[in-house]
Amino acid sequence: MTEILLGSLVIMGLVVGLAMGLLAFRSRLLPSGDIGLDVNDRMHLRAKRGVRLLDVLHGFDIPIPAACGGKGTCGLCRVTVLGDGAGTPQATERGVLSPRERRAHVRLACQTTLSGDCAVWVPDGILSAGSGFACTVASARMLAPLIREIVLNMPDDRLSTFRAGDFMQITAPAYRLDFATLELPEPFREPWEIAGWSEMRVSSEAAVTRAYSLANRPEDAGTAVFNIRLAVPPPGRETEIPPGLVSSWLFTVNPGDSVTASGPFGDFHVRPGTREMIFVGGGVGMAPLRAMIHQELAGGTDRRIRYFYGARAAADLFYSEEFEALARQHKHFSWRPALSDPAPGDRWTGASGFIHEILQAEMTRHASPEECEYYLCGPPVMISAVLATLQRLGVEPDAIFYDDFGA
Amino acid sequence: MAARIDFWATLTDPLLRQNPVTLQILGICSALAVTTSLATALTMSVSLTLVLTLSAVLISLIRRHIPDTIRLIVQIVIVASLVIVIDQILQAYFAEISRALSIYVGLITTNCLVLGRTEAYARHHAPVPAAVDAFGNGLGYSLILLTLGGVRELFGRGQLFGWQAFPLADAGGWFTPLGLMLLAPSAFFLLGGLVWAIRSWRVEQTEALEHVPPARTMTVE
Amino acid sequence: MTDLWSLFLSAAFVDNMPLTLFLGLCTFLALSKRPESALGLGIAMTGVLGVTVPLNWLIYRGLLAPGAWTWAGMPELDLSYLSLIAFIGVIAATVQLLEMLLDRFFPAVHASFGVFLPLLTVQCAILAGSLFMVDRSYGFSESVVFGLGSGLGFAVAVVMLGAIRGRLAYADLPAGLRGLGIAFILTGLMSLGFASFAQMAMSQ
Repeated sequence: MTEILLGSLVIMGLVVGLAMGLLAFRSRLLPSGDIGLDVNDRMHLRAKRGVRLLDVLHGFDIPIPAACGGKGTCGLCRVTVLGDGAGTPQATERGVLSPRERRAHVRLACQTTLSGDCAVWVPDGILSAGSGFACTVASARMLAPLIREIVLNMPDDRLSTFRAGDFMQITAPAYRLDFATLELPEPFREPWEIAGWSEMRVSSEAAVTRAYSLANRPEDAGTAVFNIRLAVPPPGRETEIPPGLVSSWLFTVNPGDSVTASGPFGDFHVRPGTREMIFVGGGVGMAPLRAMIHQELAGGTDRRIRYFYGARAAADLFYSEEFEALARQHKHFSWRPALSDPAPGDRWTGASGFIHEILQAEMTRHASPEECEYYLCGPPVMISAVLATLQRLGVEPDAIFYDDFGA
Repeated sequence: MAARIDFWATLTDPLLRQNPVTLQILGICSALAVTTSLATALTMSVSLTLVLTLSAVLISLIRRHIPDTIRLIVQIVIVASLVIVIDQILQAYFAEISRALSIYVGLITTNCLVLGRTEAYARHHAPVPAAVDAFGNGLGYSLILLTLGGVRELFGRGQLFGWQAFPLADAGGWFTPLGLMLLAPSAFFLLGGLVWAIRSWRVEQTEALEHVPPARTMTVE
Repeated sequence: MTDLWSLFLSAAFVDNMPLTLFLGLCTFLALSKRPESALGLGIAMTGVLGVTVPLNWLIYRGLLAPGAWTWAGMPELDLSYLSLIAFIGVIAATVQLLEMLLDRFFPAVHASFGVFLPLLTVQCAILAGSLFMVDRSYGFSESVVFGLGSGLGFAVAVVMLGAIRGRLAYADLPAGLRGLGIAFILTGLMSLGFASFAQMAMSQ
């Protein structure tokens, strides 16, 4: 009996003693209290020690974009940080930031933990954007089984600064959704049944923000057009991974609803010049490329433009008639859709295969593929395949511009 | 939704397809040291599978009540207590094997496999699937351990579980024991070869190249 | 003195933790892909082993060993079965303390290998150091030397493996052998080399 008692006492004493010792050391060693943060030399913020820079900035309504939700993969939350309090770049940042950026003290806000005073510079547009503004949904329709087009009516003073290739941030409030209650148009109901997406459920406890590219054409002035792809979990892991928090919510909004957005932001733009332009897109990589192509053609450019777009089956191909019409209208624009996995009922007569294969087949016949400019937007797998293809074609990296929407 | 968890897959996946030792490098610390003979390998396998399963069940039972910040400590304490029990039982009833295993039974506490499974699986699942998963992983570990132990004992001493399988040259037979098999390096070689074999058969487990060789220059036209 | 020196050498080379005792292999293999991370791990290991082994010696002798409570009139009390839990607790606390100390006084060092410190809490080699100390009934000074020696042996082995694997990144290996498979075979070859230290010790 004494042994049991004493044994328990010894262990408890040891654990309590160690914990107390640690806490004592901690309070001696690590100074507590707030730290100061200068933003663009204009704002002076106070923040708790040891928090993420991204959270501090968001807490003070500075909407730094973070498409990946703070995982350090999208690279959208680049800020310049000076001061010892920011520590040294993490391994995740080294993968995203170029050596030149690192020398210039560029950091990813989501990977920077503040341990002391420091000074931060964010793009001026973001600082003046405020915490976002309310827009109303003008229209919403399904384009493909997992892609929905949403058009927002902008407040009058917005969108004057819009450039093709920009993105905006959309904030979803806390919500709960049972996908079985979602109303789907007839042609898309069957793929949903087969994939079991209707059985998904999602709930979000707090407001979440994600970035979405604008798909505006010149005639869409005053609105913001988005192509939203529902981020579904990989097949077989539906129980473990929830579907995308913001994209799921955007599948529920209807015309007249209010949506909080901020922006537009972005640095994925068409470079001025005379070189031939090759656009390569997949999935909702459609959005910024559509905006760019429309902007260029409406601006009366005489640059040769080719648009390669990859989808899985005919059901996933959208805006197709629009680009066919553009191709008929403009001699120097060509539209090359390709299906990687055409369904038997698709009656598909166009190109079949992955989009980088179609691109390679056409560009090897091109007189000088290295003289063209390349604009890519699509899922990361597609981007890396296309980049490898372009490398083989001898295209220099500085002629390639891409956005892999940070997945 | 796949609410019904496929127990059979959970149980058999860790045997070859997702083997914790050869694919995830979990728990090899102890795996190699105790494989000089089948008897120690078997004892170790049974002990580890027991600790793994019991700790998975216990942690899964209290998974909703552990605060996130101290969960690792709680898990370690639970595992350590279970290991102490196993160690005491071994010392009491299998004194000889316990001496041969020396401190390696105690090291089950820090076996990455145990913490890895409780952290990755038991913490998020109900007790029954957690137990099945833990048991499957224990079996996967045991499979590797027994294979290595069998090979090393057979070629190192010509024995299986202490029974003379190959008659020794000294005793008028034909088999000369390979002393190397009982030394540390052979365990590494055998495990390396085993990993190679499994990955040649299951190509999807092959690790990606760290450096992509530059694309070959293509002649156009 | 010579005893301590030979204990140091034997802890570092003859009974090398990863190569002859198979201890700490998980981190040994996982962090030896590059020489830099291998060096960081090696230094962290030496530091933590050098501190925890003597610290656990004090705890064990003072509280847990049979006869430790003789002064309280309980000479037959034996709490040594609790040593596992006690050791783990001490190791976890030490690791956390070291991390704080480094962060405060040597931020540069902390930035370069601070990430490895938390991993060491559940490292078999660290716990094994303390368990061997009990198993072989070392004295206090021996436990200090043993801790430092085994840490150094680990560091030497992991840096060597890191350097070799850094070179192998460009080698054209059979697909199935890439990564883990070749790491095992390399470790085996190094282990063969270290086995010769054992021969030296015997022939002395």
